[in-house]
Amino acid sequence: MEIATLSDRLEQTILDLSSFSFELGIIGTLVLLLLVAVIKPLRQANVFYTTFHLVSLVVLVFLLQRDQGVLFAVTTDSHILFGGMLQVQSWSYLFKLAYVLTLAIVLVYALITKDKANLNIEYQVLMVAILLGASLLTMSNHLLMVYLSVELLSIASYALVYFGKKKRAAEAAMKYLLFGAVSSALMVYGMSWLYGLTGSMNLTDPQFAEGLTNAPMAAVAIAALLTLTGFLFKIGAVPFHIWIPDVYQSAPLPVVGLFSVVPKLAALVVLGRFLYASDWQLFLVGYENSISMQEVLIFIAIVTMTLGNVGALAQRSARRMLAFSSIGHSGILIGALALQSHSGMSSLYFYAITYLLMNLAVFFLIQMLEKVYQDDRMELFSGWGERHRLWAILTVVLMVSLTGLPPTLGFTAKLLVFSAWWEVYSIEANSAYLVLLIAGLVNTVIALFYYLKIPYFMYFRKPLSEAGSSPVLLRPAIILYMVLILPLLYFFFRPSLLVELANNVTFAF
Amino acid sequence: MPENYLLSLLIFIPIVGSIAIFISPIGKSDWHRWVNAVVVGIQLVLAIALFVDFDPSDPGRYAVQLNWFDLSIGTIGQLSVEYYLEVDGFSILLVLLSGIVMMTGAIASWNINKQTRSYFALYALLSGTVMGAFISLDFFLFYLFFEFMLLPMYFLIGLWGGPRREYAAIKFFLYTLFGSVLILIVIIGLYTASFDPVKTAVSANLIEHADEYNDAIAQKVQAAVASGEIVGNDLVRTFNMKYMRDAANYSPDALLSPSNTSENSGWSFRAWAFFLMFVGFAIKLPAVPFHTWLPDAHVEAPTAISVVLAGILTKIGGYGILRAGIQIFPEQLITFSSWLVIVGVISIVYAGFNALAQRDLKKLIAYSSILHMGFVFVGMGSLTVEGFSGAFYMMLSHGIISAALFLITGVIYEQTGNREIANYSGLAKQTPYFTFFVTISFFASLGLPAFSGFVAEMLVFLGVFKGAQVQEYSFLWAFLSTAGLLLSAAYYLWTLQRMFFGPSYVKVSGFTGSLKDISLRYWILFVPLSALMLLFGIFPSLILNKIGTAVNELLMILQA
Repeated sequence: MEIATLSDRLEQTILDLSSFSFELGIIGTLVLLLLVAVIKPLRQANVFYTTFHLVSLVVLVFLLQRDQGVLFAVTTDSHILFGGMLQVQSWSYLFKLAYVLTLAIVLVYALITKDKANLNIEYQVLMVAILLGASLLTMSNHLLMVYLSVELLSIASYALVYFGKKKRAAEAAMKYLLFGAVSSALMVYGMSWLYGLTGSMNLTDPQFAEGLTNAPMAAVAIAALLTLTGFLFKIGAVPFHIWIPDVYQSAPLPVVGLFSVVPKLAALVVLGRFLYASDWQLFLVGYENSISMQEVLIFIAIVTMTLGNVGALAQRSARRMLAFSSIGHSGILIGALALQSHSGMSSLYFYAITYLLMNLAVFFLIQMLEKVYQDDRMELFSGWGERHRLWAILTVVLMVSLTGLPPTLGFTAKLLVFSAWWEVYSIEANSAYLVLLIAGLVNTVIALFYYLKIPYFMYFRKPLSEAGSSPVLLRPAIILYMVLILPLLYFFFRPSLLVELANNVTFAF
Repeated sequence: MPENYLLSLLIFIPIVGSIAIFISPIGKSDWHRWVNAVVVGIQLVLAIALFVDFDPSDPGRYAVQLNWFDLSIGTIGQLSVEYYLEVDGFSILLVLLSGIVMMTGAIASWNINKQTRSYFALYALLSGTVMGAFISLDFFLFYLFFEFMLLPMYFLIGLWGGPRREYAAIKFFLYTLFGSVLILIVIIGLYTASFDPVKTAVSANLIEHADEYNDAIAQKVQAAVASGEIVGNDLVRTFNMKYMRDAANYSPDALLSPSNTSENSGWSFRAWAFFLMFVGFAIKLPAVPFHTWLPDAHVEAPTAISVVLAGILTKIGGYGILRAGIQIFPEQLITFSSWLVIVGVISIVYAGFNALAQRDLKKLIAYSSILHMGFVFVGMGSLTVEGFSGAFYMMLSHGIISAALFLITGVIYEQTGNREIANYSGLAKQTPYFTFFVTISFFASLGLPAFSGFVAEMLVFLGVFKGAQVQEYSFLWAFLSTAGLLLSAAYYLWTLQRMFFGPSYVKVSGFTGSLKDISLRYWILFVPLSALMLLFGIFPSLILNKIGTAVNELLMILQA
């Protein structure tokens, strides 16, 4: 390599660093957290670390601003970083904002409940690592980078699950690790096929798309489906969802909250990039015609939402029920992604933000339940309607929103996704979208049945005798709960702000 | 300008009352009762004032149309949701009925002693949302109220109901939610197909401000959309039912556009949409075979909630199908009209025989509700002015009569905790006044002349026989529909004979002595309800004048 090009490249890399300050900031936070732990070993240190961590998240938002311009403004620029490894896009900013928000809320959980385990420093560092992995994954433009970020996410996740420190947690972490390792291996194998077929690993490289159209369809199908495995595993889509109920049941709740949002969204985004990289025509055994990747995803979406919702019906443990319900929501998100259109993506983002608020609220509720009863059976909500009136009413709002009924944001989010499906159906007349829409609607009805269980116990059952005298829920907790739930009502009546946020960017991949 | 606020007050006074009850201290039961009665009473007074003042030739007088929110939703344009309330010939009767029935229920709830705060807060909330569903002419707003009323209803049945209340409540919720998601598909299809000409004109810069809008601009906008000149974000999609009525306000290539003739499985998309909407509202109404939630819900619900459920909630199904059929899917209504008659007749006959077989008085009345709602479909399907007026009349008349009928079961159940018909005999001797009101209600319901039920059934029969001469259904169906008259006479008279005449006894374990006659509370309820049955039976023009415009719309679509 000539010296001149090398120095050019170096110069370019240094220039690129200037739009990379968010990730640099994350790395800085990571290092600082470790340093602070060394210099400030106080008794109340745990709370201190978490507060420090929270403050650093605020700084990160400013760094993100600096990278990608102004809040709520149209930024259509998209540029390649580090020789094609990463691609910064206007919308990646929106997702990163969602990740930071999630992490911040999850940290506040931990601060409020003051569980030692949830505040200690290794735990915090791992959470930051998840943030870094997710943020890199969102921008990944190169198969190697995708793999690297998925692994960064995964390894931190395995360790975090173990922080449950229960026997079950060890089992769940082990299961998760095994499933994760297998799916990563399959993914990397698929990627090697893709590289072999195209000679490029860069998703936006014309050579990549060209190579795929020229390659034999069956080979592309194998490569694409293998690669898909890794993404679907992270999203928690059927048939790679088996780890979700176990992990959600045993991991510490802040971690569950984090898992249910951040890796899922990051994997969805990268799946979107993958989807847009080529006009995938797959040839599957038993099919006469080629089928497109969208159709594969639509099929996965339908199966995922249906199995998730049906699986939730029979659960008695609140955590397991919500684990299945989150699988159901993943189905809708994948369905929105499969549209490959701007309205699909903006409705996906809208749904994702709604889902973020609802899911974090509901896991926070479970956290409160466990704080009081050390268990998560839904019967334990019995009598909350009388004992904890505000909690119970907010929970009704939350469950109505999770089901997707008005007057809550959950309804608006579903309406937008369904409208996007209908729009594509009416343009392309592909009945797969109609089936998707019908599945979405039927699932809304199924979902009502199990989401109503918690309000049912709260209002329809007398308090359990084993609970003894009325236990007191933590005072500051209700404020966080309100902060998470009131937007669900407010944005139903004034959805413009959220929609503008999603609409101001162009979802081009 | 009081007119501008009247419709909003109809919705929001009960909702504010609900909040007031909710934040009041828990033990003040009387306060909860009175606040509820006062807000629902105000709602009734406003509804009556609106009814009296309503001029069919000037329906827009009380309309409120405000922007709620606009969203940009991708390539098909912007979405515009309006806070749009209006009463017209379709809704005026139901607004009045809603006021009457909710007030009846409020007084009938007086003896609720368990958790009064929650009960009355939910009840007042329900009053507001039910009223909202009738006067919203924006589909988004309509759907909001339509869905939202399920939640208070779920708790009202599930918390204050009978032994199997939890099962009945969730069954009610799931069935009606299934019906409403079918309606939601149609709403999505409609709003992504139609557009708001006023806002589109503004956003496409044809006019500066909405005030400059006139017919010439309308044609210009519609032509521009039809030719594909206005696309994307300039096109303002609307939930407004008023705009959806005009075929020119649809994008020509949209699936639910009247000019789109493409088909799916042999039916045009509009036919499918009408079908889905029909099923959705038929679940709510309910019509056989979607009716199984109703007997369960009624049997378990407390008396007042049964009154509300039969008196007004089921009418939303009839109202929805009448409005959507006539105003949005007229061609499909004509195509499907024979099926409406057939479904209606099947409901009548099936529910009639079921009612005959019931041993529980309340279940009998629940089935009689299904029977009478069958007349709504029959009248509507006949596509005649008589049948159509009859369908409206039936909703009003049955709303009032069924309120009284469910109160009757309440009178008995409150005293003995049992509603088996066989356990009672000779009640006429024990409770003469009660028997008097029972007789009035039964006869009004089976269609005795001079009562409102007679006018309603007469109109429907006139319509269905007249329609049989021109429509596709045969006379057989028209004849079969008169079976409703016979069957209801049979089960009412038989019940009257079994329970109220004969040797005097009450055979309920744990209950000794005879039944006490009705208390003052029931006098307050039965006297006005009976008077209304007579009033609307003797002076049908009171009602028919008000719905004239809605009936004319039917004539217009038949001519077109």
